Amino acid sequence: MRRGVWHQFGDRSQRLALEQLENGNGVGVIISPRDLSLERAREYAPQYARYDAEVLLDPQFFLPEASVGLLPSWPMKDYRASVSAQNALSDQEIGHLASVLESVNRDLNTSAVISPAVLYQAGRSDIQDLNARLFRAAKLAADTIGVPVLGSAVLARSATSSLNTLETSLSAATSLPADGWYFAFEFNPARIPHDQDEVYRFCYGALKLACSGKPVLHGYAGPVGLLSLATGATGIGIGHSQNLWGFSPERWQPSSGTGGGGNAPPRYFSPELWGTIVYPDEFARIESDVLSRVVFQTQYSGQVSTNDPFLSWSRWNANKHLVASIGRTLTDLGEERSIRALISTCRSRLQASVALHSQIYSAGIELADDTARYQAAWDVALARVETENGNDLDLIELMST
Amino acid sequence: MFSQYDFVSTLTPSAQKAAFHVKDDKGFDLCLKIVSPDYDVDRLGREIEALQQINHPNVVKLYEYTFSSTPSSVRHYLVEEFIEGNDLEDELQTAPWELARIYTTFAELADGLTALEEIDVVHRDLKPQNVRIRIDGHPVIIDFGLARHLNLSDLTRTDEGAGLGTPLYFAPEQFLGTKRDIDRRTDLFAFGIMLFQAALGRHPFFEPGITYPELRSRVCENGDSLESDDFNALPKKLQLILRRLLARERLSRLGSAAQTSALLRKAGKNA
Repeated sequence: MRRGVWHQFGDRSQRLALEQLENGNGVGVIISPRDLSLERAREYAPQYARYDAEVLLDPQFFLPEASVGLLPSWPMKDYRASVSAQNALSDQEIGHLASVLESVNRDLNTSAVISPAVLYQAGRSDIQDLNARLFRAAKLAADTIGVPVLGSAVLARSATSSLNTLETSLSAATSLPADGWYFAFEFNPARIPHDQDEVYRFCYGALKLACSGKPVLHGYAGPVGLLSLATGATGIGIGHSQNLWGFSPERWQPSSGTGGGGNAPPRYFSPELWGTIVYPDEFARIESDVLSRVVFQTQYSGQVSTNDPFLSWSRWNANKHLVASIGRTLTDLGEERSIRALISTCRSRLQASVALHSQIYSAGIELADDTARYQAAWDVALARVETENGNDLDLIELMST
Repeated sequence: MFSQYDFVSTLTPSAQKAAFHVKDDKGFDLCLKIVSPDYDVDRLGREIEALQQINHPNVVKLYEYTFSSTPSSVRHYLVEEFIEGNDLEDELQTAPWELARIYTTFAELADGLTALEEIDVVHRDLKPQNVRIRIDGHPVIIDFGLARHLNLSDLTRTDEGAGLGTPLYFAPEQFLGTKRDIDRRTDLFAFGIMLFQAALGRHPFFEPGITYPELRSRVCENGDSLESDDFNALPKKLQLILRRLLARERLSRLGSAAQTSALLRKAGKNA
């Protein structure tokens, strides 16, 4: 698995992924069958490859009976059934699932097979058993194709709610003989997670997976990718929309019909703040000397940099800017191979962001979306990793020498 | 049965099998084992078939497997490569070993475990009696795969104060009877105990006179078992590897035998 940023988008944003890859942002694409039909995925996969990007297919078995979006159009649909029904699959049927996985992964020329897996829940040994069976199918497919198999460690909130449940769930997920891990973590509902203990648990989980010596792809990472990169992840799955900033099972449940951003103004993502500013309202109020430290130029942010509130800036460009700026920042940070140095750099960045937010706040501006709420908590969580997980860091350092 | 073999000597038996040094009609040295598990013949057969595919210098070669069934009993017969040398158990009598020997021997032993991992076999009964050291010093895993077919309740059945045989190398999940939790990292825990013995000349948890519950408690509950002057005097990298191999929680152990082997070689190179 290549180290860096992986694009994790829906159907209407494949061109965005291609554009980002063309501009040198990103090393791979994670295809979402919820959002993209197999037919369209077949069209796009060779185009990603043209930019030397790896392709992975996320089979999205998280909620076993999910049938939202385009999921029913994929050949894996026959295996989307209740945990008990899937556990009752015969060896022959598991073999057939393996054939289906082999076929779609071959079609898309994926660089690895991501194992289907139901969300790990605390105390659900039946799910452990099922995921072991589903993994067998994925491994069979991967072995036949001749590519690695990634074990899915996608954790529901019940599994992430304490260190004990987290350890138990990850111990189960990592008992499978995978060549790497596809990791996602359900946080408590929040735009960006800000609870110190919860953020530490996330870091702890990512770090333990990295200690296995196998590559870790953090799916549905978004801005949280800063933390997973700091704690040893190889790949970071990012998307432009907020519903891809963190794993949420609701995406695989039937929609209530509400949601969407409406006509909300665009948000400008600043890597220096590791947060967003509403454009143009908040942008126009920030003093120019502070603003000059906040702005990060990408090819999509030209109008914004002029700080002319009369110039419109499209949400679409804001989306592209977000992906480009997170991607570039994480790619640059990822050049550092010493995990201790990387944590230190990320902490410095977060501390600088807290200081910048203080300056903005002291000028009487309270940024929307709770965007100043989490950086300090992340810094504390990483500090805790440094003090409490020295043994893990030593191991990763030894592996990388 | 087995009239094609000439009997040479009786080898050290284990709880589950009798073993004999035999020669075939070409004078080739072999080890004949007679096993009598009482269930799941099909599964044993499938796994033996998988093991026959292994051709690795650190895993004993399994040449032939057959079984006989009579109304009163089922017997399984294995014909394996005969390994001339000593059990690791004997070799550990001379521990602590020199560091170079520790790194080399255990990296190779981890290579053998990797070969088992590659076909998804968990040994489950790794212990010094199940490792032979060839005359040229290379380790070989023997008796692999069979313990996998034993009920955990059989493995853990022991009387307080009685012979601690296999439980000396139990991982916490074996003591706790959580069969679902037994995986390749269970073998790595046993591997860690043997590595510890080679490095320090003593068992990390057991000492003469302790009872089964005490041993269980040390393995499963006491997080500071490794803290001691002699342990702290080991090279830092070896300490780190041992801590990870002997972690109570599987998640905190090393992830695979391949990783273990690579780390031991790195540690040995920089020692």
